[in-house]
Amino acid sequence: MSFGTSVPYVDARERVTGSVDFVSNLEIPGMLHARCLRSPYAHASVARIDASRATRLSGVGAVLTGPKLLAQSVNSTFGLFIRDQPIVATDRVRYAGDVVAAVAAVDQATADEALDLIEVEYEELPAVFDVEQALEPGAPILHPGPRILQSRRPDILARQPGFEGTNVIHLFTQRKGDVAAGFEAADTIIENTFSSPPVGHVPLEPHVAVAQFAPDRLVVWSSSQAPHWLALELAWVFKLPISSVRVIVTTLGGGYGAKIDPSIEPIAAVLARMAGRPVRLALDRREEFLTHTKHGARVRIRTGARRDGTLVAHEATCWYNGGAYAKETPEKIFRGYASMGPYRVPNVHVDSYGVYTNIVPSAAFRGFGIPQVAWAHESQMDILADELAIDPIDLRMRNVLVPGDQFSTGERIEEDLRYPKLIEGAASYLGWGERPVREEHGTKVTGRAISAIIKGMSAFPSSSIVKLNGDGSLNVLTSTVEMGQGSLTTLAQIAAHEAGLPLEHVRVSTPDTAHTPWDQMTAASRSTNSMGRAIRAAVRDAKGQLLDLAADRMEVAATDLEVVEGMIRPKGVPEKSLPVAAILGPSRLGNILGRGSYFGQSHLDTETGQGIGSPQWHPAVCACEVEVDRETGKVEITKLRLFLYIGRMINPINCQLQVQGAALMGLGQALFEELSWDEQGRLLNPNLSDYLIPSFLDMPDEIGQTILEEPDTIDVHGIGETGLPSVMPAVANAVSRAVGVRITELPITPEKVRELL
Amino acid sequence: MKLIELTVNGLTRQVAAHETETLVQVLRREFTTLGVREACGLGVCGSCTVLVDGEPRSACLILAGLADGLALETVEGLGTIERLHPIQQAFVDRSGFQCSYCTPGFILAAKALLAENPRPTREEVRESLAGNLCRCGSYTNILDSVLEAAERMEAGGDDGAAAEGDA
Repeated sequence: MSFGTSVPYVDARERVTGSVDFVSNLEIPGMLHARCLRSPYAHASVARIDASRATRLSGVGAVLTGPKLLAQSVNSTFGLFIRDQPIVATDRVRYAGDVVAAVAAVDQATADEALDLIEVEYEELPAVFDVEQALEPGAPILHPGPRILQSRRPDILARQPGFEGTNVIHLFTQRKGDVAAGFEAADTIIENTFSSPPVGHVPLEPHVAVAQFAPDRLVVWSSSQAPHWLALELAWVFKLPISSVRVIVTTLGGGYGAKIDPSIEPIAAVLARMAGRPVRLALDRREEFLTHTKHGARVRIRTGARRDGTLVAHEATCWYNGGAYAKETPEKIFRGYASMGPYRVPNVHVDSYGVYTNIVPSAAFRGFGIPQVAWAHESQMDILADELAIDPIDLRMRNVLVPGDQFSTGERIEEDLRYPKLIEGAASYLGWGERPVREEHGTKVTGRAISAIIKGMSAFPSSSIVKLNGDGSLNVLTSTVEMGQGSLTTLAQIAAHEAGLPLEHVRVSTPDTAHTPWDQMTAASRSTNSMGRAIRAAVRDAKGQLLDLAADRMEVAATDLEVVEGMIRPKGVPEKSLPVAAILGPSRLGNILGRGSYFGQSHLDTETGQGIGSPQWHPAVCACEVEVDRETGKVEITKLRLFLYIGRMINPINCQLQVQGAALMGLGQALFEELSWDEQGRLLNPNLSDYLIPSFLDMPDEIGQTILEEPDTIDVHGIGETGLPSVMPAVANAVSRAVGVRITELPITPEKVRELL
Repeated sequence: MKLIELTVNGLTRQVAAHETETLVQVLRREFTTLGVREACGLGVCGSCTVLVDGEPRSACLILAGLADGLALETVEGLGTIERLHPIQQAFVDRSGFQCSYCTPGFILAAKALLAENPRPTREEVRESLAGNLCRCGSYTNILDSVLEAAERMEAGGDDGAAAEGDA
């Protein structure tokens, strides 16, 4: 059986020969190529736009401007929670890089030439970039008009009317216990503010979409992580039934959250309809940076503790910078519920704001809101430990969640997340208690530290259909997107395990919304768990039907039959086994269909943030050793190891890839990744020469993971994001142990360290 | 448009190209070498790596107008799906990728490295492949793949062109 073993990716051979089917490879006969004209201003009215010369240029198939968009019978805006993003600007632009027009032409060069011929007159408006300034009275308002809200989240809807006419995208509040009394009872109170900048997702394959319009039917091939969500949004834009919109996704060259929300697809689709020809829109690297970022955030956190280290009160205000459009922000700010970390705190008061500003809109990013709060609470824990003169490991051990404890949401966490073991493992890896946490050698100083985080998993439905074929092979129809995480492999391992079939006989589909059933999105570390459960249910459904057939044929009760390696076996009588095909073939059914779905629930009260925060909780602890050069301030991470509990590993080598990938993304954010803007709000480093991502040279000498399992379960946790949020505070804590410098603004650059030394 | 002659994986053809197009665009369009991928457009990420005289070069930095007469190798010139090059086989066996958008570039850079230094140390592999970026962060597995390939190719006693996968 393959379940639990490191089988190679099922499509490994295609991947190493360069022949894997990326969306960016797609060519359709007659296809036009689109390019976008982007605003040079952070905030401006579009006073006049004249595209007549562009339209007349030879080779141009369609030119889309605001007026032309409004002349069509489409809904001109879209958005996953708040439909605030125009397909192209209709009255104003809200960030430098906002799309003001788009052209489809025979090739990109012609499209670029046409863009140069479009005349736009802007009238600049005051702009706001800082989250707290954006909330002050008199701040420029980005979206003054009424909001078009999605109906699917009643808890978000209920609060929205109060925010119209302000820059508040949404507000999450959490009230638990009596926070004033909690601080009253505290022996020590500390308050600090921690900030983290917007960073780029940088999937090596930038966004790409190809749209083809028949009069009443739309087909879009897209590099989307959420094909059904995209189909739903395109159906809204074009006023089509969902059945008339088909989104097809092959394989993505990375996503990391950037490809969840619709962005370029509506532009390509409108151009395709105008041109009467298929249109491909592919972003270049600069545009990729101008389309999505991780939310920059500021988190002010006040912690009350008793002398013995027991946490008694937590108050936090989180400001997530949503940029120009809401995208996933209304959901993301709920992660304020983890702003105290994986600890028991009886009295909690959290206000978590999503704020509109005139910068590139923020999207989901691996970790979904947790990295921003983890940076705060885990830095705070080490500061508190020093304040109380308690060992930071002991402080965490005293407060960390154990089964039956109440989390900030009021729910009791019954699953054994094994925090004490994870923390012990990290401490022991660093030699805690056996050698000093700080060691000097010449101008360099070594420091060691840990961090601990908790992460939820968004509760959204997944569904699957399986097709058990006459020869005993199995097709799994799923809308999970393969973006490099290996889902085609791990989901096949899950299906094969449940079905009792060899892995080679199971094939997992890629998404095609006309044929594969609903899944909300491939994100939030949810596919292995949520889609895995849906697939298992579908397989059980099909297997039940198969065993009923077999029971008749073999004259054995269905409950006394099992399927092992493709053979139907009367329990305990292996010599009487028959191949699946021997039952299914003669049945003349052709195939057996099984269906399954899973919808892990969560619900938090709108005012108090009390309820169920996540269907499942994911723990991580990071152990980090750094070497700080006292002369240059340069920080080198020499050891980085993540400690996770994940239920059970389906494919250990894929787990290693995911965990180390998350760790290295965290390393980049800890040490150097940062997008920066000039005073006019223009992005200064939208390229891979000025914006660095981790290379082989940044890899720590030691990097690894320790993954704890529960051998009896096949219920698994996702693993894609869990490690990332713990890395940045672990690095900062280790730097602080080494040289006594506390960095509160990411990234931890040599300049900042040197200045504080 | 200009006619240029290119030799790609041993096949010589004259193709038409805009002088300002990059080699990436021409290779993808005219030779369907889809393993050559643009990711940064600045020659800093290695996703568009091709081998020219065995040396890794960024195809996004080579203008078509200046590429006339060039002979180059892409990942498509190594093994086939049925018959992988030992470096490719090692990347399969050691799962040396996640999304694999960068993988052809890493494999070609590894080929150039191993031609020059058949048994590199871990440190030499890291330094030599530092010009290739993997955003999924699969570096440990890439390193293991390259070292595994080196071992197998040395044991195989050839450049591995005909070696079978021996996982």
